[in-house]
Amino acid sequence: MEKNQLLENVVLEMRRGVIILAVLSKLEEEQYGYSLVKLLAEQGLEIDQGTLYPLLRRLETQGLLQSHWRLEDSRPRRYYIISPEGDRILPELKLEWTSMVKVLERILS
Amino acid sequence: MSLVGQYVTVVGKNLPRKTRSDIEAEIHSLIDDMLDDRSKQEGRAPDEDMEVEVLKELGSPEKMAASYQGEKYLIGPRFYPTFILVLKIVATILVVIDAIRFGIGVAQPGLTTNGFFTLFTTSLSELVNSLLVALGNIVLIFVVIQWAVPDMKVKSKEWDPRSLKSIPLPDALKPVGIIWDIAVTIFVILVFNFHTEWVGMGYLQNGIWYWVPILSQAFFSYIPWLNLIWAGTVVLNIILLRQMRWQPLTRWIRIGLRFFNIVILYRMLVGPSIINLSTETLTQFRQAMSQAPGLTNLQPLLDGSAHLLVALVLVLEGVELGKSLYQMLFKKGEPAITQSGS
Repeated sequence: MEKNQLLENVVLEMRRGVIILAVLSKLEEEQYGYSLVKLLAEQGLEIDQGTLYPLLRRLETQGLLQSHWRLEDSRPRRYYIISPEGDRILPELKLEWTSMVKVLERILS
Repeated sequence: MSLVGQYVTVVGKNLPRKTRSDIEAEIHSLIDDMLDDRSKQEGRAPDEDMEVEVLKELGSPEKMAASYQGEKYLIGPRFYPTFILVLKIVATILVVIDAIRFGIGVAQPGLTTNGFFTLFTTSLSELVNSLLVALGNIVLIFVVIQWAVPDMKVKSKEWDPRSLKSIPLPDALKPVGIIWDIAVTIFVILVFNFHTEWVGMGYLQNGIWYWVPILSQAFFSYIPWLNLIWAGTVVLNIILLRQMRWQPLTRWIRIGLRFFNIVILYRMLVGPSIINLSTETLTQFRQAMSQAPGLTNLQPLLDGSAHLLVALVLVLEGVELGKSLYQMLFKKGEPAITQSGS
């Protein structure tokens, strides 16, 4: 039980940074929170809503995302999209990620 | 109000007013999307059971609200080191003040064993009280600073590792200090065993300088015990000189010597006076000091001074004993380092 909890915590730590990269790359096209959850889940990255929504707000505060409310079928939805600043750093983040993967593969092999 | 509405309201109550309505709307929108999705999957209209399932999946409202808040500090990492530093300085000042007050109290002539313990417990409770008040005030001040001072940008000035001050090893010893201790202790042994007449006071009468010993017979009854402590101190210092660092055994020996010393100092305080002046000396001294009429009651004055001195040494020894015991019992030692290849 304790060991599982420990493993879960470490996995959460590892995923934290990865999620930011995944979210930024998927928000090159406009998405609302739930559609983004589904989109990422379809591609194999399950994210808890309690993690994603605060993350979206944080990234917006940091200037990496932009958002606006839109009424669809009489329901208000908040749409997020990558900001010009986020767009600028995304390629660099992707390069950094590729490099990290290579380094870790070398370390773990 | 629906279950979803209640949930969103409770989440909002746990959020800052500034962002509350926005986050509430977003969570409401999320729950509606989840219910829609589930409704399509299960081919039925959303009902209370479905709402319960979705809300369970989101977790308790408090947990949901906490995920938006991030970590909150009463005193954050920015000010924590300064807070600890201030706390240590203030605590040290309070301990010193209390120790001095205790020392002055103990130095009063005619102190009984009961009086000593009453004074000790009163001082201790006053110290605890003042430490708690100081802690509360310092925490309050830092909470206000934490709240009032906006986040500071970290200075990007280039840092030079050579600016680090060298930190001495906690257990390392310097030979000069040990040799000095040995020399002083041997000098004390020689004086109190072979030249007790050196411990006294001088006065000038009719152009002639007089020197009179002042130690009483009561003091000499402590000499065998004091000799044991002094001899023990010399032996300990010789061991330290060979090892050049503190080890658990030597630390415990020092604690033992201090404790023994405290017992003797306490006996001196509550026992008969360690100062004694003969009637002849007193008369002569009064004549010599006739210019200073305030010094007619010399014996009580000397008694009081001796008491004060013994009390101060007792308090200092007590503080040192407390520090040594704390270090031995509560401070973890350095990690064991295994040499590679051994």
